[in-house]
Amino acid sequence: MAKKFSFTIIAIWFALCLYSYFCIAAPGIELSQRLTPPGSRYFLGTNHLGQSLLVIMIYSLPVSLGISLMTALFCVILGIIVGSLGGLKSGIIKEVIDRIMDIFISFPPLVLPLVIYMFMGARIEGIILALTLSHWVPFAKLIQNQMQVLQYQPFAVASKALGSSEWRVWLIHLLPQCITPMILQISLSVPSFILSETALSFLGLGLERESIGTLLSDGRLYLFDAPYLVIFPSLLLLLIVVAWNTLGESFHRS
Amino acid sequence: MKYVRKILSLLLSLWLLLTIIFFLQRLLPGNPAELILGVDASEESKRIWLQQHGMDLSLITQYQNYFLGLLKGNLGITYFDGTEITPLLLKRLGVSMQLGFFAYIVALLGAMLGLYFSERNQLLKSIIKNAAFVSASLPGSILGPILIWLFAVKFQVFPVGGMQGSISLILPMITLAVPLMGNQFRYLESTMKDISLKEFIRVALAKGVNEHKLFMTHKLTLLIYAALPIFSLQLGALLTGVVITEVVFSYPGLGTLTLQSVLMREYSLASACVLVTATMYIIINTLNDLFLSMKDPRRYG
Repeated sequence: MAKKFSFTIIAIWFALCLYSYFCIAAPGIELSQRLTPPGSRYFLGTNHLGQSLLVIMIYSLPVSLGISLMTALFCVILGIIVGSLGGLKSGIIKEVIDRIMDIFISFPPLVLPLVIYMFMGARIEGIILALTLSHWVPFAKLIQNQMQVLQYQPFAVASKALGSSEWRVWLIHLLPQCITPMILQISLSVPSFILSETALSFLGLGLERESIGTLLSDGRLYLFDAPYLVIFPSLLLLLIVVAWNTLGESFHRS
Repeated sequence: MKYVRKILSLLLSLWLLLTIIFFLQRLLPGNPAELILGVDASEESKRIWLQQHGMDLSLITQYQNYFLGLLKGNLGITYFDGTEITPLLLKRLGVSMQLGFFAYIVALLGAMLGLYFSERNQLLKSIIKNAAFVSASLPGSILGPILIWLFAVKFQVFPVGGMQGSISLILPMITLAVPLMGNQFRYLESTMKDISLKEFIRVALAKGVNEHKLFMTHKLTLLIYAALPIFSLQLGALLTGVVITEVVFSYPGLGTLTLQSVLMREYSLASACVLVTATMYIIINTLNDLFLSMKDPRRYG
């Protein structure tokens, strides 16, 4: 029940993101209509620039989706490369890879985005890089553990004995076994990607374009006059994150 | 031997960290003298500024000076007005640590209390479980403004932000504590399930120990042990949360300092903040690891 519900919400979210990315332009500024409370003309009211909150909320959705998907993709790629090397090779390569992962784990999560912001400014590549670098280690560890176990399973040993090359064993026999745990890891990580992206744009380290985080940080300044500017984006974000968490939880259980 | 290895790896991480931060700071685009004095400044004044900040020396000498300074606890001076960074950082760090510490304690107590009540009543249990699930994904950027709106704007019980006595600690503390509490509750609850299956619990039940006493004397001890490893898991969330919470409540801690310095491109202060935060994180994590491996050598080798 909860799974179906969260699945529906995520599907709607995806559809809205696509719709908004292709069909919605940034709403125009109308200072005469600023801070109109929710009503018949503006369903959720208007913000400090007179833009309709509903439109701008939908307009801001694709940012977190795009960034989370790209981050997930890069985490998976990096995780597969590093994890496979660390799991299948031994000796100095494994030692170096273990050290590298230790170092990346030992950075607190917000530090890398801050450092990368100092270097690259508010660029989408910078944000994706920062989020990837601060989240890829669990992916690599997962692949590494899988590889360490799988390479001694009968099917892998048999295939090697029949003369398959190392690449073939890796690609055809080992990697497909990692897909299910990988999907689980992605579904558990996406909420934290979304929250990280929101946190960055909330702190003013995100993109120039509106995202939920900037809506929250802008709305915060008008709490006395227009609390709905914070409440509606908060509810939207909470709904998305809780839906993802529920989905991840139900994957985890099954 | 194991401890020596842990401490060596700690030192290696710290050295790498400060080296990376040093070179990043020097490699940042733009000449710092130009950034501070403006593009039109004369070559002479730029040269003098670089000399004052010890940046006309070779990179190796600068690195040496930086390293020796760090050993003495000297983080250098800010670019803009030349104030000493160390005392400023220490003051801000104290404020942040107070906030983080109280929030963590509140979260832990809240999670334990939630567990205690969820053991007693099925209805309560499902309510608490769902609340914990939602609150675990409730970031400071949502909870903070909503708490301000409720308690500072509507009911005017607490100040909106800033630091005016201990009453202004309460809202930031709650903001920080709620997501931690949810996570802790969920972790402790799954541990509790394992504990409840243990034999001594069954024996105690068979002896007729009442539920309250069973929780207090038999389960709580094991639970506190189980709660220790999540500390290092939650430390990262705590640090991120501190930054966001401080920004929401304009609380003068390390988080606001870091963010301001990054946004103002005050790189010497920003890198000092980053260095201090990461150092703290690394040291606390290692200490926690060492403590755990001393307590339970089987699991944390």
